[in-house]
Amino acid sequence: MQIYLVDGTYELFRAHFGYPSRKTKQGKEVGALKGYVNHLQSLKKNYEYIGVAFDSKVESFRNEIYNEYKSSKNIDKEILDQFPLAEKVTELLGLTLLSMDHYEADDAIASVCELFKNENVEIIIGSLDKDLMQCLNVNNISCTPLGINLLQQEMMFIKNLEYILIKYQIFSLLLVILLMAFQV
Amino acid sequence: MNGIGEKTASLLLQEYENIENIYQNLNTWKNNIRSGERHANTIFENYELLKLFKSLTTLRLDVKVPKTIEKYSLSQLSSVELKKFSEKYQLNISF
Repeated sequence: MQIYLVDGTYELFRAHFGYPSRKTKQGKEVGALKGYVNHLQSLKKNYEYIGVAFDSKVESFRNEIYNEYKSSKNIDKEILDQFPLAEKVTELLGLTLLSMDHYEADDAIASVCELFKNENVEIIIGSLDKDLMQCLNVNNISCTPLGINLLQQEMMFIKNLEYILIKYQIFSLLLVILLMAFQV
Repeated sequence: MNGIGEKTASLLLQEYENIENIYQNLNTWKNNIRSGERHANTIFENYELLKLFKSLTTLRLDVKVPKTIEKYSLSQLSSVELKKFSEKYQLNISF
């Protein structure tokens, strides 16, 4: 049995920078949301158990211990406005949402790993965030560079050749980082 | 830490596992590594900052998350609501 854990916030940002801009007739930016939905739908085809962690509020307990910790102040409003929509569509698509206040998505993912670390279940973390490498000290947990199949599916939506080139470069870079992290 | 590179940091971590042990053994390792005296001084002077950054980067394991595997299984999607959502934001979601 496999559980796939998604850092929803990370995915929404990834979609924001990786997908073309898209606006509704009313002028609302939804490019990131579209990319995010595509990603979740791809995951649904491959996994039966999925948890999506989301830290919509951005600010967490870490801001209390360090003033200069990342906050929503410097985040583009266009993407911030898509956070609640992404949370909503996650549930509408029938996925389990791990929504939280005071913590970050990474903490929720680590907590799920901690919970199931001795269970007969394989946990796949769909993120290459270096902080999440802390979860990899147990045998049944792994990280994935988002999967080649997913990348190919996503590319169908990106017609601009430049985007494809950038994505391949990012993918190669992520792969090198992953290999270095595992000291292969 | 300023002046302490990846090589020195991983060397010390391999030997002492964490920053607390590195700090407690300053006097042992400072004579055994290159520029040890300078590095030991940097760590001594910035120990509180080091602990702060460690607490910021350490993931918490006590977030309240669903406790059973079944709670993570895909549930029936809300087709009526999803259709409305898709139309409202013109997302062309296929389901």
